[in-house]
Amino acid sequence: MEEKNLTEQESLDLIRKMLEQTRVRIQTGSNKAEMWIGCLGMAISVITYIGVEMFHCQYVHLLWFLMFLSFFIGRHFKKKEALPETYVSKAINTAFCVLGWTFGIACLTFALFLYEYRSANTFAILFPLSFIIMSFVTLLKGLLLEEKIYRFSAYVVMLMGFYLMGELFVSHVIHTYWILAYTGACFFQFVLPNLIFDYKMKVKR
Amino acid sequence: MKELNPILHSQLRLAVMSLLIGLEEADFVYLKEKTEATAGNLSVQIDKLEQFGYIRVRKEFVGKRTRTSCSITDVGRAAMDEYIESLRTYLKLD
Repeated sequence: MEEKNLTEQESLDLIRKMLEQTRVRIQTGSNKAEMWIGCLGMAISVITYIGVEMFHCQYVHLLWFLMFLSFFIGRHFKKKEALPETYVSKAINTAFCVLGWTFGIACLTFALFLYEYRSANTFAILFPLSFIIMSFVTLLKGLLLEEKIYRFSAYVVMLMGFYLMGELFVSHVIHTYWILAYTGACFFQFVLPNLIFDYKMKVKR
Repeated sequence: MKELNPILHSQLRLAVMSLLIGLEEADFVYLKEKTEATAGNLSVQIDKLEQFGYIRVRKEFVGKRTRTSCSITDVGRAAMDEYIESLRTYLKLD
């Protein structure tokens, strides 16, 4: 684009053209980072499950800490992309942040419970709670983007969360299959809806 | 009839402002790609818009590279509103 004198009509056409360019981005934002978080989350939970089943050792559960790595990698990808931040993507990021803090506070509270009452069940509640909190973000994303697939995924993960919570209250047992439930939650939460949405956007363009 | 704002009445500066008005923040690479301008020219126009307080420029390091992000300010938004209003008057769109 070179500098030249514009007529009024050309100015108006240019504004219209540029606004049109940003329109698609307002709808999409970037999903790559979320997909990375989802895929790594799935991989880590499957590895943890195999480890637990093979070695029957409690320390294998420490592999969960690798989950933080997936969030860092996801964040790194987000920073690397030269994508503009839209009002919608900003709202979604803020929601992620707020609910992340909510989960952090819940972790701290239940860690205190664990220290006070020495009950692993109390701490295990964080697992279904994380599903429910995660589903709220996806639900919000679905509402902002007006996409049914995000809402569907959110309800599936929310259902899983409530089911596991109910199971914990009734049987007071933490099952190993819960680890695989996390794999499913990551798939429904981060991978499937973003894959479908990105594909739909590609077709639209 | 009110004169069109000379700062905005330039092809590249107007393109940058029109892109930024629909976004919260945009990367220099994104602006370059969408406006199809050269890096040097775009850089000069961005500096000019920043001088007039129409946009805010933020520089940060991503790895070893510098990343420049731009966002529109309230002054810039008001100037764009006024500019579009003047255009509507000129083109008798009301």
